[in-house]
Order: sequence, then C-alpha cells, then structure tokens
Amino acid sequence: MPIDFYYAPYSPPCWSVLMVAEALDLELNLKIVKTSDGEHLTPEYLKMNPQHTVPTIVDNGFALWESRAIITYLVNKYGKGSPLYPEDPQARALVDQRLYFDISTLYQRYMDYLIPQMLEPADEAKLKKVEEALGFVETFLEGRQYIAGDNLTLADYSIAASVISFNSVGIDAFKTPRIKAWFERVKTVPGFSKSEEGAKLFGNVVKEMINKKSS
Amino acid sequence: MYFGGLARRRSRLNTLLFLIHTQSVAVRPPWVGRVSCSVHLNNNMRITKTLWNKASAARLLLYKRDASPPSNAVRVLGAMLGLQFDFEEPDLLQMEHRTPEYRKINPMATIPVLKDGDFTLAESHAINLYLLSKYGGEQKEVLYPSDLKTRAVIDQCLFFDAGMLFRRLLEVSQPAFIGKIDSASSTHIRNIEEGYGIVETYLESSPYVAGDRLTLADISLGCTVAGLEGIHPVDADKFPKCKAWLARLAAEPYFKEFAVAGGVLFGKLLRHVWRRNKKAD
Ligand SMILES: N[C@@H](CCC(=O)N[C@@H](CS)C(=O)NCC(=O)O)C(=O)O
Ligand SMILES: N[C@@H](CCC(=O)N[C@@H](CS)C(=O)NCC(=O)O)C(=O)O
Ligand SMILES: N[C@@H](CCC(=O)N[C@@H](CS)C(=O)NCC(=O)O)C(=O)O
Repeated sequence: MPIDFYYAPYSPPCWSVLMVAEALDLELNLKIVKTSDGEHLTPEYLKMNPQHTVPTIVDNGFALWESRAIITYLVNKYGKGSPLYPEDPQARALVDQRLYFDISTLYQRYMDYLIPQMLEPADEAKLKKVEEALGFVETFLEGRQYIAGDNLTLADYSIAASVISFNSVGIDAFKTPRIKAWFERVKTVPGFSKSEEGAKLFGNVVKEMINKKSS
Repeated sequence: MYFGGLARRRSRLNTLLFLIHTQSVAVRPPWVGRVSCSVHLNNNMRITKTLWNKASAARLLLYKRDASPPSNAVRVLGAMLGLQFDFEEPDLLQMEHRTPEYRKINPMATIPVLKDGDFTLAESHAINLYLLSKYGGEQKEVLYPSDLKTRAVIDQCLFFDAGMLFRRLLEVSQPAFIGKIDSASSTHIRNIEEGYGIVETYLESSPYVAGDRLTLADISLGCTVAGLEGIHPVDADKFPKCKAWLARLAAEPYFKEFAVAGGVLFGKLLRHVWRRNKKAD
C-alpha cells in the first residue's frame, strides 16, 4: 500500500522526503495541501497532525510529521541496512547531529532572516548568521565528501533541501569551495529535480510576498 | 554517485548498498585528535568531578552548565544509565563558548558537548541517542524502543523540541543575555503557550509524550519545559495534562535533581540578567 504524503510543492521540508522516497524506491500517494486555503487547519487535518505542518505521512494508518523524523522512519522501515542512516553508533550520531543542526541552526537562521522580510526590510545581521551557519557546513565537509562522512546519508538530503531553498531566494550558499563541490555531488541524487521545481515555486512565493509589502 | 539511475532496481541496489556498507570508512569530526581530552579552556574552567565511566571504562567528558536545559537532558539520561561524566563548564556570560579554543571542539559554540574518548559530539538530542545506543544496555529498549512507530514518534518529539519548543526559550534568553530585553514580551508568552499547547496534544491519549512509558522524548521535552517554567509557568487550567505530566516527571529522581533544579536556576539567572538590563537603560 502506498504511503499517503501530505505536502506542498513549494515547502522546503517536503523536498527531503520526496528525495529520500525516490532513493528508497517508495511509492508515495501525493496529496497536495493548499496551505493558502487553510487546508492544513481543517478538523480532519488537525486530527491527523495537531501541529498542522507539511510534510506529513500516513503509512498504513500511522501518521507522522517533522520531515527529519519522516526520513529516518522511512529508512528504518523500508531501507534497513542502508548507508543512508548507518547503524554504527558513531556514524549514526554524526548523521543525527547534522539533522538537529539543520533544524535548529541552519534552516532556523534562514527562517529568522526570511520571515520578517514579509513585513520589514532585510536585516543584514541575520544574513550574517545564515552565512555563519553555512560556514559550519563548510567545516563539516573538511576532509569528507558528504555532510556526515564519505557516503551520502540522510544528512545530505536534509541539508540539500535547505541549501536549494537558499538559492531560490538569492542567498549565495556557494561562497566557499567545499559546499560548492558537495552540491555538485548531491545534484545527481534521485529526486533532486523535484526539489528544484519546488524551489522555483518557493522563490516566486517569497518574492511575491516581499514585493506586496513594499508596494 | 551510487544511487544515480539505480533507484528503481531493488536487487541491484541492495547489493550495492551492501558493498558500500562493508567498505564504509570510520567517520570522525575534523577536530578529533587535535584536541586532547583534558583541554582546559582557561583557568576558570575546572573539572568538577574526576570519575571513570563505569560502563565503558572510557572517559566521558561533558561540557555543560547547570542552568542549561539541553545539558540537563544529557545529565538526566546519563544518571539513568549510571554513567559518570567529567565536566567542563564554559562561562556563557563571559563568552567562553565563543573562543577559538571552544570552537575547535564545537564550531557551533553551544553546550552541551560530549567527548567519548576521541569522539566529540555536539547537540543534546544527538548526544542522548548516541549514549543510549552505545551504553544503554537494557534501558535501550525502554527509552527508545525498537518498535518503529514508537521510535518515530520519539524522533518527532525530539525534532519538535529542537525546532520549536527550545527555540521559544532561546527567543527570550538570547536577547536577554546580550542586554536587549528586560522582560518577556506578550509575543514571547504567546509563543511559549503555543508550545505548551502542542505538548498538551502529545499527551492527549497517553501519560507520556510518546506513549505509556517514559522515553527519551520525555527527557528532552521535560528539561525544556522545566526551563520554560523559569520564564512562564505552565497554567494548570489551560494545560492540565502538561502540568500533570511535569508532576509525574518530577517524581523521577534525576528529573528533580537536574531538570527541575536547572529550570529554577535558569529562571533566577534570567531575572538577574533582566534586572541588570533594566538598570542599564
Ligand atoms: N520542522 C518541520 C517544519 C514544517 C513546517 O513548518 N512546514 C510549513 C511549510 S514550509 C508549514 O506546514 N506551515 C504551516 C503551519 O505551520 O501552519 C519539518 O521539518 O517538517
Ligand atoms: N552569552 C550567551 C548566553 C546564553 C545563555 O546563557 N544561555 C542560557 C540558556 S540557553 C544558559 O544556558 N545559561 C546557563 C549558564 O550560563 O549557566 C548568549 O549570548 O546566548
Ligand atoms: N539544539 C542544541 C541547543 C544548544 C544550545 O543552544 N545551548 C545553549 C545553552 S542552553 C547555548 O549553548 N547557548 C550559547 C549560545 O547560543 O551562544 C542542543 O540541544 O544541544
């Protein structure tokens, strides 16, 4: 039975799930949620996910949200033994650490920079914090091909989704050499093109909102 | 790019995965090996306890502060597992965590950080998952069951903590510690209550956030909520399940000692900083 996937094409956290599903050759039953119409706030949606976020999956009656919890679940369940989420405690710890870094630092600082721009001019100090976080990614890549080692892992998918979305709103994520070279490597992963399509939409949504404010 | 073009070919993929798996190289953070375990950031930082870790006979070193909720999450789990740590306590108010020496250990300049021999790991949630998988013994199945659904809900809670709930504490503490605010605003309070509201939904049909038993998720969320209580206590009328859950957690010995005491200390520290900021106006 395919997994129901509640998502919005423009939503960056949805992209890592799309990419990982493709890497694991999983069939997703795509269910677009029109957040602009409040479809994520209906009683049915809230019953499934009281946190009313996309992405959300329903796998045989089991509802799960938080993109990074979804991708680890997908590998644990459908890709056991996959190097995408290694089982050795230290190797896995590095993947986990990068996933938590992404949610609490990289993507967070980006949102802290972006969201206020719907109402006020861009704050350069906040852009500096984003660039500092990209600097941490550059450090992770010291002596490594990928974000958490020499293999592609879930950390690459999660951080790639963030970086793709940076590019779509005009933040230059490629000022430093290792991220630039790493991105060339992850560009070839399955599902990457879906993220890029989503990123175009995301870039347009953001530009439209920022323009509305200034007009 | 080993996945390219192969995604749809299960059997070949599995063979390939196996090959890569067996060849996988040990991965290490770049600073490992360059910094010795007993590094002292400066004279103010001292090792408060010198004990050997019973479980592994390898030394566990934890960079922490008593008022730091994520540090306390690691200490609660460590105590439950009977692990003993050496401690280093960078003085955050003196910016000791922003020094080049500390950044070599953790470029993100946060606490907690764990050193296990020559392996260094930042981020409380990742540290707890690591400690449990390596030293968890029988507790592994209790605190992070192998049942995939339970495990996924625990992960979901941990990401909710890292991405939202603890954020709501930082929204108040970060500007306070750099002298920008002298109280929590109504937006801060609203955001904290929104967080409590979500914890309440997690407790809708079970006594603990990820089911019938205490798990890793309760440890992290419990430490964060205990810290948030130092800003804005949980109102039992609005969030009865959350309040009752906190009381249940407080009955656990290590929770009282680390999470609850840490939350109280954090509240005191914050008020001290608020008073200082008020005077400076
Ligand atoms: N940490 C979450 C973030 C999810 C999230 O915030 N999604 C946004 C869209 S990009 C959303 O659903 N917003 C609607 C809402 O929160 O009400 C994840 O990674 O899944
Ligand atoms: N200087 C730091 C201070 C941060 C800080 O002190 N954070 C609090 C809460 S997250 C803390 O853990 N304090 C513990 C302590 O200093 O004992 C900043 O600018 O953020
Ligand atoms: N997601 C991280 C958060 C760590 C964190 O922000 N810790 C605070 C202390 S409570 C800190 O180190 N603040 C210092 C700073 O932000 O400069 C974790 O769970 O370890």
